[in-house]
Amino acid sequence: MTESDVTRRTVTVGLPNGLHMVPCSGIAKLAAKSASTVRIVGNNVTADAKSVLDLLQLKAECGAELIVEAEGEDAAAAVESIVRLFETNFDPDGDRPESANTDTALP
Amino acid sequence: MKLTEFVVRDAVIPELQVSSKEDAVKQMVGALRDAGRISADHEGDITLAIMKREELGSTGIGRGVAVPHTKHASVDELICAVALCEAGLDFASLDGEPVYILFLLVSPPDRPGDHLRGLETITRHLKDDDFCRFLRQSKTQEHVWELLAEADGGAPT
Repeated sequence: MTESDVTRRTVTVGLPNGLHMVPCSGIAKLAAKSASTVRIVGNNVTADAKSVLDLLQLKAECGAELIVEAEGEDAAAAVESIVRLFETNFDPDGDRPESANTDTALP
Repeated sequence: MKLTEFVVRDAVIPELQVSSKEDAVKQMVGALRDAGRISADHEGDITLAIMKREELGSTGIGRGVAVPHTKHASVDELICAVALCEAGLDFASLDGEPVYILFLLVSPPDRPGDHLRGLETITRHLKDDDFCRFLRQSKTQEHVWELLAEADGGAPT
């Protein structure tokens, strides 16, 4: 696998409470649908995007910049779907059904 | 952040005897009240908020671990109760497995960063198989506390 096989995008956490357990679960569920290896990098941590435990290691607060990257046959689609979660701020009313996650006042 | 900075020593329940998720949450919130860290006036409210959060998706995050939590304006710093359930508890976990280790967090609404750092600290240690095994074998508050302190010693600050 060469560097050129890695699809990579930068996202910014827009959730006021940061990347807490609910959005982490949303990312993990989405990543699990992909055949690719999906990672999120930030805060000197590389997290397996399919693992909530790993994603919580990012302790990404509002405003944090993260890199979403994937390697594999559907890498581009996997990265795109996760970037979409961030772009819609994990809003269930986003225009894609798979972004059905909530970020309420509860952490 | 260190475990012993936010886990309440007197709210460690080494042998939790419950048959439901709600009973577990009630006992753990009750332990925080008995330890003087939340008031009796807010106990029911906090328990309810934690159960409502569970409706969004179980905080049983796999590996036999659950991290039920909520924010509440009556606390001025992150606090945590710990419980061990030897028999295992149905927590509707993400992996469908029973829960043996519970960390219950209550944090002030205006400090989301502390909540994230608490979750990071807990999950970092829970990824360690030895830590989970020794924790599950602990039978006393003192033993649990020693284990948490030992884990803190090896953790970056």
